[in-house]
Amino acid sequence: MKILAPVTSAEDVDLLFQAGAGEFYCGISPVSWIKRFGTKVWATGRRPDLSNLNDTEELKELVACAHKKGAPVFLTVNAAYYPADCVKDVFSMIETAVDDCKVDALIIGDPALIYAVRQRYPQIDIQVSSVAVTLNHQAVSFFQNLGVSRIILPRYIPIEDLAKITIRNPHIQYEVFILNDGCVQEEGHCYTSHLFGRFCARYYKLLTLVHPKDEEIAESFNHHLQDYSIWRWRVFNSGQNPETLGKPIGMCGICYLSELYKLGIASLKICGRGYSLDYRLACVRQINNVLDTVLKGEKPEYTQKIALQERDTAELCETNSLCYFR
Amino acid sequence: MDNAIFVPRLCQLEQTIYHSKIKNIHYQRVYFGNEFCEKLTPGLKDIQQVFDFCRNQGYEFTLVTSYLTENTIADLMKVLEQVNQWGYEIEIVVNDWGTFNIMSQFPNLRPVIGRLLNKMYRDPRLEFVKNDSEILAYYQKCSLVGTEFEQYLFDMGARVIEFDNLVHGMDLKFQKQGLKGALYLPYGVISTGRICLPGSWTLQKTQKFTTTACSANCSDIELEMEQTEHYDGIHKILQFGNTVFYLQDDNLLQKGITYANSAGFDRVVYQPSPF
Repeated sequence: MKILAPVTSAEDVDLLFQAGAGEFYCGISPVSWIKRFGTKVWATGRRPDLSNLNDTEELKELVACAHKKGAPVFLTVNAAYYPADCVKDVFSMIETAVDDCKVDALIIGDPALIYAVRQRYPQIDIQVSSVAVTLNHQAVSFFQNLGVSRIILPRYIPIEDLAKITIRNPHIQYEVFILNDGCVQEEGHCYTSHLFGRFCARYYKLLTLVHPKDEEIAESFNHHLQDYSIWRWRVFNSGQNPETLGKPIGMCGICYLSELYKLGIASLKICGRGYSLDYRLACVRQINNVLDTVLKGEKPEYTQKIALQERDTAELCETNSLCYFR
Repeated sequence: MDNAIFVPRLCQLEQTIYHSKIKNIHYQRVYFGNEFCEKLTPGLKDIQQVFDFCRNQGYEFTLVTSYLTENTIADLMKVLEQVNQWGYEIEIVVNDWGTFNIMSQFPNLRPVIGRLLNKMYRDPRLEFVKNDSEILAYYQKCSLVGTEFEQYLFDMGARVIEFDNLVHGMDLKFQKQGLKGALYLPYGVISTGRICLPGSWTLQKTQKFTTTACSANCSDIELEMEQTEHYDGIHKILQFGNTVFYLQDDNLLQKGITYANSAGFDRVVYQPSPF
């Protein structure tokens, strides 16, 4: 079970690897795409100016650096979808990334692109992004039939369900989210663009109960709406900047490392291509410290205890708000 | 172009039929089920009742399914096995690639690619870029049609793919021997998820906003988001159950119907209530 860390430069690789990362992922926006769409359509699901590499030279250098350490690099090609007339630009980027830069796999969420890549480049390793919403073993089979090697499972799959999926469909790698980003809705079933800001993240100024049965019920529901606002606030780092704090304060799954290890989960994903190196290092170290207990054969209770110590957010953890595997 | 009417629950069948009469909506097909919550997948008895109603009244029948977790996919398979044995060609709207994967086991059932599998952006804020033609070249298109994958879906038995009526319009190029469109009116999906705001009401705090617990309040509650910091457009934003929608105004409805006609869509799906 490896720690998968986001990288934004070759310089990141050394330090993140030393801290315990075993795999890396990054994104790059095709130049032709940026010329065509500017920053108003995101080629990789993230703002090109903040969360990706600038050019293929950087990617080449980064991959070479990672390969020297025996660590693979995966390239995100995970916009929600790629219409037919955009695919040419994407193919061109993929060819450069694979042939010249030697990336080890592509992370794709659009089944149409997975299909097209598989037809043209049968040798390329493809991983299914969480935006494809693979929630059951039949969906895993669907993507297996398209020739993928790894499924990145969406957030919020309880451990018991995760176990059923992996047992019923064991012949593929699974990756799970382990730190940082939350989503109020199902990420892959949210059809908004963060280009305009998060539709869900801000507080609604007003939510009205359109058909209140009576005042008491309406009041009860309004209290519930307050609970919802609090939960949403916690999902988005409790209104704080984790980089300033120097430690993760958002969504997390490190209590479950023992269980994930037993299930044969291949990879633990740290979100945050846009975060500073210092913060990403803190994330890797935190996970690695807990993972060490698992690899040493400690009991799950002990691992959980260490996870809670590392996390140091006992009150938040007690609310059950921030767990990826609730 | 045909019309279909959407019935989310058996108890709403009569009401929906009455509603369509008042609104003078003529339809040839009845959609029955839920796209957004696996807990609302109708049972076999309810499906049979609506199917019998359709047969008696001369309507075609389409069963609608949601995205599914590991806990419910086996249950749906059992339902589909039974429906398949009825011996009629019946459409199944699939909103999960896992459901699509099992459809080949049921020769009498034909998959419809549900609108949740179609990832086109429905963000109502895109109305603010609708004069930027280069950007619209992306947002008005879809990867499931006009690509090799459309042929794949066709070869796997699909004939229809669903769309929302987008505030920024559509520009779709279907393959000649490929899929045909179905347009949903008047609610467009903005987002949905397994964590349910109304479904958490009345639960213990530690049980709230999880994917599993459900207080089944979704049929009683309709939420209106009167304003958000990021949207002050013309379309009303509503939440039913776990899903946020934009309600299309008359102008957008008319544009959608005109486009669907010109683009050779197979049908319009009129959905008086999504839940």
